[in-house]
Amino acid sequence: MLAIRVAGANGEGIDTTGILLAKILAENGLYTFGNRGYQSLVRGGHVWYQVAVDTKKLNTFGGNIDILVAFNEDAVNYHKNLLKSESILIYDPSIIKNKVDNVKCKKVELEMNKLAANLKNPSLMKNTIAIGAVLKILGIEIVTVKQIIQKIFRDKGEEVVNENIKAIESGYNAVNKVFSFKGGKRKIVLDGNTATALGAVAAGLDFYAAYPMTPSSGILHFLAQNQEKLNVFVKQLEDEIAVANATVGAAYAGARAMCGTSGGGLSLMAEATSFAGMAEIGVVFVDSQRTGPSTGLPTKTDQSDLNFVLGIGQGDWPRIIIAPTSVEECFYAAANALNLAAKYQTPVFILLDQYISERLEAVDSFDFEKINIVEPKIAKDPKDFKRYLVTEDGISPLAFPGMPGFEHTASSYEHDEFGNSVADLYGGLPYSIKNRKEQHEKRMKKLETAKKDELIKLPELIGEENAEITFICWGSTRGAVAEAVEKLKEKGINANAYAFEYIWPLKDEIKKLLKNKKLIDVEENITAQFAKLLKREFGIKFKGYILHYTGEPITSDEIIKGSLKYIKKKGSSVSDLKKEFGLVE
Amino acid sequence: MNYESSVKPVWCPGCGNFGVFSSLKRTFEDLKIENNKIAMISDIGCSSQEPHLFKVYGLDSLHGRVVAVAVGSKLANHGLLVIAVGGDGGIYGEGLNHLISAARRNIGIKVIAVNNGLFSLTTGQVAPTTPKGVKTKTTPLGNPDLPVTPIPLMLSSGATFVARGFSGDIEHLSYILKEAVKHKGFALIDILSPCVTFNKIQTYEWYRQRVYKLEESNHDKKDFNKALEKAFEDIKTNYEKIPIGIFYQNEDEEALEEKDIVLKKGALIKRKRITKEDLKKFVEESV
Repeated sequence: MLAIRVAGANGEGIDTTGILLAKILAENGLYTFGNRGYQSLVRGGHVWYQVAVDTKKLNTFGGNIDILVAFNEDAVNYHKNLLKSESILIYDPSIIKNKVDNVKCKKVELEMNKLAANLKNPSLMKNTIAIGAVLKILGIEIVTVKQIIQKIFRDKGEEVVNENIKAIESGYNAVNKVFSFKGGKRKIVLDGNTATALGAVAAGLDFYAAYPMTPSSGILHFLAQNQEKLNVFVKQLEDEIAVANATVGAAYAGARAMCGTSGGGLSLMAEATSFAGMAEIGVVFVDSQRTGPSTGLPTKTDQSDLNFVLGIGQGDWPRIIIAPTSVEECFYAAANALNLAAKYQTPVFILLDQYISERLEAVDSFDFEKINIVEPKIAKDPKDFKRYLVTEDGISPLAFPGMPGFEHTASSYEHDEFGNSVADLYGGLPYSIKNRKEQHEKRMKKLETAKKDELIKLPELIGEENAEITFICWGSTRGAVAEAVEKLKEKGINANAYAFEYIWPLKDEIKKLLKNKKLIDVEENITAQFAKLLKREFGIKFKGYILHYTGEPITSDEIIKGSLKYIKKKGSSVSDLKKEFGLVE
Repeated sequence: MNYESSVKPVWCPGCGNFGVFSSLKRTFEDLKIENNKIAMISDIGCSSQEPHLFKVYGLDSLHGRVVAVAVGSKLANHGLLVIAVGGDGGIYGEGLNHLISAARRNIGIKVIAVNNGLFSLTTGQVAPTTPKGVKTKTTPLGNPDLPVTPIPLMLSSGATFVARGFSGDIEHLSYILKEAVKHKGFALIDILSPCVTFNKIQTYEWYRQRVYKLEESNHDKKDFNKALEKAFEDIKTNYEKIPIGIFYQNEDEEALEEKDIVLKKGALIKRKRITKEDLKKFVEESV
């Protein structure tokens, strides 16, 4: 794996540059993994974009930087500690004069400004020139690069294509080849928000509503831009309360409906989640977590909404929680979420976070054959139709407005099997007491049924079955954990991991899986929310915790560092091991 | 067609909601709307029992959220007649943002605000519509606040159908409701509805002495400026003259369902979704 970081001032097109580089490399058949570092500003501030590239599938965007493209002096100052002696620093000597002398690595001068001066849009083209230089260093063939540029920019007209090719070439010709990357089959590059949207569409999404909130807005942007092609209704509504309630209203009327937000918005949606739970309306809520509490760090990542989602909304009602473990998994998880919402007629939550929402991953392709649309249990006979019929599995027959003969009232009030309110007329009377108990148990029964459902998956085992230590992780941290397991193995340490994607309900088999294991919890919150859930449900014990809450995604090095004290290696102390892994105190 | 369910109302004898119920029933009967094509969404309050009394599709939602829920249902299947029924507390207070937004978007829901000037289900607290100076359980010294004025507010929000009815005049209220149902876009019907238990000022008698019908006073409902003038008449005359009827109707403005790129092709849930093959192609070409 090789990591390339492009860094400069906000507004310089750093993101676009990183994304374009990741796209070109993936089109060329290489695996890429991109991550942006930015602030909640429109202009100003320092931003960067890191692209990892490899011939095999990537789990992270890498730790140290192998190639740094510095657009200004800040870029050198902020990122020089991530450069190794063999790393390459690309900079424009006309911008950064004499500022790189004390940086210990290889240096490549690239006169971006001078080269761009000959092109139509110099401020934009200097970025493309930098991409050209990076591609040459990586050893990508210029013929292939030209074809890719043609494809990416063809909709923007011949002039744009030609200008970009000129810029790429001038950067390409200004430096020397260092590596020899060879690509394979073309890959698709996308972020978690896009994959979530696509997965939902694949599973029959009809209706999507949202109110803009970082880092979930990408779903809204993508669906809004493609609403006609994807044939999906998309609407930005007046606030998150409207978003959640309109989504429930749409699902009530028969739509496969989803809405998205981040923690702050989800707080406003809380009452609607409970409403859907009580009225038994299947809806999908996407929460892309950001660093909380409150407004927190809007553009940074966190896994601290788990407890909130586990308990969101008043009262007890069944909910399903899914936290996809990679961008590719976002696609399948979103599809499954819509299916589960339809099947169980209750809210399903997709827990994303800023890191998985906005990072780019190269995916070979999506397996559309794996996506089946699960339809809800539709009522067949209008005679004696009971919308909230008490059943063995807790799932009652459903009728949507428009179906003749099944007219009934669904209700946020406690109700009887017909949907009639037992609050006003009968509250506290024997009929109501019996009814309340039956309906409440019926709803909660759905969780027991879901536990045994194959749509709800067991955690993924990373590494071998038996290991000295077992990491427990959930959602987006899977990549860093998988990388840590791999790195430990290279040094002869046998670690494995269970990566949880299906968070709630937890299948009974999990208890057995985790039995007699030296468990190390890895998660991005300060209170070990998921470990506490496992403890509560299964009474298991954890040996240690690696809790990370800086707002930046956890790295494999950090996981290794945190785990070394639980590892026994003959003749090695913890500090020996740290040295062995090149981890400085 | 029979529109009545077997559920019996739990309202206080004489409650204005009976008049609303009878007017809705007559509207359905006269327009011969199929039971299964009606979705009646309710707020939480005394008026939220309405859906249960009808043999139609109903949904009890949340306090203040009836308009948002109804918007979702209408957008999902605009072949339905979607009625949002609630009280003044939920619609003009807790959920006012939804009302304004639905109006300016011209989404074809019919909002029925049963306005009794109080929070009655919770035993008589001050409401957003309670006139200034009125003593209630939570304003024992008299309400210091100005009330919300739904009619001018709706006019300035771009509502394409703005009306006020009186639950003591079923004949006239049914007429308004029928016109609202026939109207393709958004409609607000503010219904003056006496609370016989808690509101001792705005009684049937009090209203009967003050209301007059716009339809009988040479009012042109297509004239926005005239509508605006009439909209303030109750306030200006210190409630001596309260116009009821259709203040304003604009049939030229397209409803959202008619112009949205996806919805204009037909009801959302009835459209043909993108096929797996086309989506696969989209991913390969456009992502």
